[in-house]
Amino acid sequence: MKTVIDIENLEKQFRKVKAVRGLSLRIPEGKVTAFLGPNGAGKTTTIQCALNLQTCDQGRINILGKDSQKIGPEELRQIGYVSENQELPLWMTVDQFLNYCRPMYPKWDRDFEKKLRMDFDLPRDTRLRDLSRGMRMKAALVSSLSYRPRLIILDEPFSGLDPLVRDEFIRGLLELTEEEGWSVFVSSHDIEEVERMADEVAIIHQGKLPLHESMESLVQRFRKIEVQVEMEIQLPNNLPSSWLDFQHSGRRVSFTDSAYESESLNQAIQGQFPDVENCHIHPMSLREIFIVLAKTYRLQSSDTYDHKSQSIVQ
Amino acid sequence: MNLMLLHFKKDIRLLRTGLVIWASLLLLDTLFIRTFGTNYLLENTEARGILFIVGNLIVVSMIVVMALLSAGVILVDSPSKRDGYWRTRPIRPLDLIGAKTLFILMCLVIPTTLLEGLLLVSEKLPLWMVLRGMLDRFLLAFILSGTVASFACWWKDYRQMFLGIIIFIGTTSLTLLLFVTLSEWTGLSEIRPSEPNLMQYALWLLVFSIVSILVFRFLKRISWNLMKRFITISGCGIVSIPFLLSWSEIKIKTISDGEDAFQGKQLLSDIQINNPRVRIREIKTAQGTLVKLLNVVLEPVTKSLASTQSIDWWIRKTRIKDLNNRTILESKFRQDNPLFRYWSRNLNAVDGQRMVNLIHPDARIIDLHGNQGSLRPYTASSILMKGSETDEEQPLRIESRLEGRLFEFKKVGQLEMTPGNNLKSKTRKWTLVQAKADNGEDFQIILNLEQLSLIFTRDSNLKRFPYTPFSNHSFVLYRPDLKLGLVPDSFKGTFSIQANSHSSFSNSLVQMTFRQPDWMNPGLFFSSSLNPLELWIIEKQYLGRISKEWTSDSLNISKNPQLYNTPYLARGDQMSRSEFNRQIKSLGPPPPNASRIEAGRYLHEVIKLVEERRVFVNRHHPLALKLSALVPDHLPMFIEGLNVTEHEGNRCLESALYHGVSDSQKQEILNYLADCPQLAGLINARGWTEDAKDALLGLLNRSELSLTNPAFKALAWLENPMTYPALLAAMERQISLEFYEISLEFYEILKTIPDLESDLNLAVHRLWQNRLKVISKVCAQSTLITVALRHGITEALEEVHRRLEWTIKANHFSAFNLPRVIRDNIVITGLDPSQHHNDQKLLKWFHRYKPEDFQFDKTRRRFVLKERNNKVN
Repeated sequence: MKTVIDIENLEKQFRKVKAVRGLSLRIPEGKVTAFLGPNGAGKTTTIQCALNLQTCDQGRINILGKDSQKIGPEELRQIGYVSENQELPLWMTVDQFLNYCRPMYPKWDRDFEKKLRMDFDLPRDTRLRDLSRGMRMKAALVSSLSYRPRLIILDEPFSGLDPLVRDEFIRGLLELTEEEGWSVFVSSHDIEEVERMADEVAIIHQGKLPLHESMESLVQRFRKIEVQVEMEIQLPNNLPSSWLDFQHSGRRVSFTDSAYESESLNQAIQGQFPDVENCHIHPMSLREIFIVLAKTYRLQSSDTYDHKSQSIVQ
Repeated sequence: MNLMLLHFKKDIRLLRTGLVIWASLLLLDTLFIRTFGTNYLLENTEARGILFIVGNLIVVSMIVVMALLSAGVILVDSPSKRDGYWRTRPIRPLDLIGAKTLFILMCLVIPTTLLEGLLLVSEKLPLWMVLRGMLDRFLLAFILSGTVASFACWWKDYRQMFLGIIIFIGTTSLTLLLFVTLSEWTGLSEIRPSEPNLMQYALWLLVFSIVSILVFRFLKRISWNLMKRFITISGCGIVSIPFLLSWSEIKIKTISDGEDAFQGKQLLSDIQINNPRVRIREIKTAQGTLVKLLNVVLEPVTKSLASTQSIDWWIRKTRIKDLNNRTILESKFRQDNPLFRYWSRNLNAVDGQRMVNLIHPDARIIDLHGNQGSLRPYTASSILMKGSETDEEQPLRIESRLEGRLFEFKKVGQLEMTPGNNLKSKTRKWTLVQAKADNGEDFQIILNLEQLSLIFTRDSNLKRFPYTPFSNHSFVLYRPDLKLGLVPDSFKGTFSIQANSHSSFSNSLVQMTFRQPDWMNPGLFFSSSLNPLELWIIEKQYLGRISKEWTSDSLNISKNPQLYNTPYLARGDQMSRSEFNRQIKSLGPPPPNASRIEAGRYLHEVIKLVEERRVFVNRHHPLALKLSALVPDHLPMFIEGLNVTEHEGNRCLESALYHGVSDSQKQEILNYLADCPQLAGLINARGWTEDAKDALLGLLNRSELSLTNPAFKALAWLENPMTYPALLAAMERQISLEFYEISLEFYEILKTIPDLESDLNLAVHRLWQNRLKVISKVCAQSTLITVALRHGITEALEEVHRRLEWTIKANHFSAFNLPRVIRDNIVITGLDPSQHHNDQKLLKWFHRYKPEDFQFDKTRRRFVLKERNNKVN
């Protein structure tokens, strides 16, 4: 598969804090890849390294086929980057801002710009300084999408956007991805929104990448299981390693299976809980999967962490 | 190109408020200069003060706004921003750099350059001056804004940048201070022809550091955090200091074409220091407490410099050390502070008279405030150190730094005394604004100087100094027909005519007052007709300084020095005669065989009274006879006293010794001679010279400066060739010191030595050739003229005639000691002997003849009238 971003063994340290530890990640072309992780996991650092806003301590990043440290105007014309941390030229009006950006991109699509402005309901003559945070983000999105970039990198793009705009934005993005084969690399805490658009999911934790797989496979693999037994029991010690996030209360036991398969699950439940009264199996949303995984990563000790994570990824 | 213009337009839009303020300031500045150009007078000091403040406020505001705009245009797209929106946009660095440069040039540098040009054109200056002034302004503005812009590249915002500047300047200034101090104290930089001031250093450091940082960053592409950046800029500043210091030397050498430095170096190796005189003095302070001071007198002797160059020697840092190299005392002067010295280049160190003298050897200059006709290299310089803890018996050494400052002089031209007259040089225009004689004694001149003064130039004549344009010039009011000039008595100014001083064209006024000496005819200089007078303008250029560390041989203060208590002298008054007599009477003299303590106490009290009364006790004074009674039993005490007293006290002891010493004490006196050369006078007077031959020759091992005239006279009597060089040197020194009687007497003794004749002849001719032409006191050079006349030097006779012209015109017949010089050196014929001592008649008689009417009579060693003239009379 062709990739737009190819990260290999990336390491980045700020003073004594290791932000990224040997991270490897490939973003496929023409797909939407969600980059998830708790606060401080290293998402923004990874993106900034990819865009040469930060230098890497170790490792190599290729973006659109070029070493990220050597990317120049030619590559940047094909990349649209929007971040919640970006400093926009607040002294400019929306018009001035777009007028200033336009000549930098030969492929700037004025009709598309108009459409986006209308969709986002952006005022023309208001200074960016006087706009709300959400409106500023919209202006940044217009300036980064109007030239129809090959690769869109979004770092927390939904913050400040109202639900309606979010919905429109995601729908628009999905259409364009579909029609024009755009590649999108999006980092966000708004997992519900990401779930709607993501083809691939990568989860980063403490600078490492314990999970990266397609959305479809991920949703397929994870199930929420609720078991009710006849008599109150003690949890057995030898539970399968793919069962995560156990919750036990009297006769009720719930957990998440990260390697769901109907038959083998039933056998495993019978083996662990012989007197099962009833058993419910629920599919899980991306948000639920992320929370389970995040909890697991956080709670497990570092010794077992490596072992578990290996099994989860596999 | 389009993208560059795009960024440029964006920057203009962003900084438009600042640009409006900048444009307003430029306009205000121009209007201010043009409006208040020449509309105020010297006397209008209040208005001048206000204009000065307003003008400088505008200049400072312009610099601040320019710096803020230069930084602002960079900070908006600062390369140090990590999360910058623009860093992910397809902006080519070249476009961005081009846009920023365009902004700095088009919005900041070119407007100020054009306005400078406009100002210069409005002053009707020649095209080359206009262009040169514009280039200067362009460079100044470009370097200033470029430096600030480069520095701003390192920071995200103004706050970080200001912090960076503070840290950078603080660190580098401290290092510079340390470096300068160390180089001064260790003598690392032996020759530094001219020192840039701290501001120049700061500018160089800034440019150097910024460039080096940018290069370093470009090469390494390291993402530095704030602390690393702070450390790096400080480090670059510190590292650059040695480079800059050496750079300044190279630069200055180029300016002074290398020869000056070489000559300075040569002088340094040639300089001789005669043995120092160290004295301990006690001074009574205003509070009545006694302060013990150590006075070190050194006399640097150096060769004369070529042509129009001059040098001033000064004693600077001096330390008294013991033989273990431990510092016991050291001088503490403001001038020894390296920082102070870096701020002052001391252009005023050289007086005008010396300039004129070096440029025009024929001219005679009257300078009532000058160095009394003697150049500093040939006079002693002394320093005082507080020395209450000094052990007088301990063997010591003196370490001193001698510093010479080199100057070069050039006559710019002369102005006649008609208002409006001007003198144009390549870059300056001197105009006489006003010339008036107030009361026949004072003469006031207001002079205007218009000049191009640049910052960026290697031409020292164009260099813009941080102080007034007049400080490197001297002025003489000259009367060509008399070949006589006056140095200004006082200056008032300089007053800048232009309201703002930042333009490369400056226009300033100075008011000079000349005062004629009271012994001259009041109308001689300042009569109603000013026609014969000219104002000479002389330019002085500071070439730099040279220094030398000097260490004395081991010495012992108690053996060499003179100790005297002069509270009256310190207070500047004198004990009355009646009080003196009363106190002397009240002191009961001890019996001749009294104990040393008793005799010493009495002697001490008497000497103190003599000094406070300031009376010279000669050999005939009753007090001398009274004291002489103590001499036979207390000879060592009297001799020790000779060593520790000066002037009146010393003379008193000498007179007492003359009467009191018995023949049986001869050997004792001879033994003391080595430690007290002054006893040579006593030896001469008592006719013991032949017996003291060995002891006297032993004196030659001492410094010539520590020997007194009687010692030289005694040495002369020996007629020993070993003594001749020292004797000739002593004679030259005495003649230059203008002690007419003493010098002449000593000269006459030398003249009696046949083997010395040719050397003496050469010495006198050399003295005459190197004579000063500065008239600073009435008897100026009369000794030298007399000696020259006795050697048949015709020029000396011509000199007497010239002086005669002045004295007759001035109606001051005793001026220059002329009657005495004539009486002593001219055989007067045809004038009644009773009239010989009538100064007026004698001079009038002499005035009837011309120099060529006389001839030298070798036998009589006097000038006599030629036969023809004699017959006529």
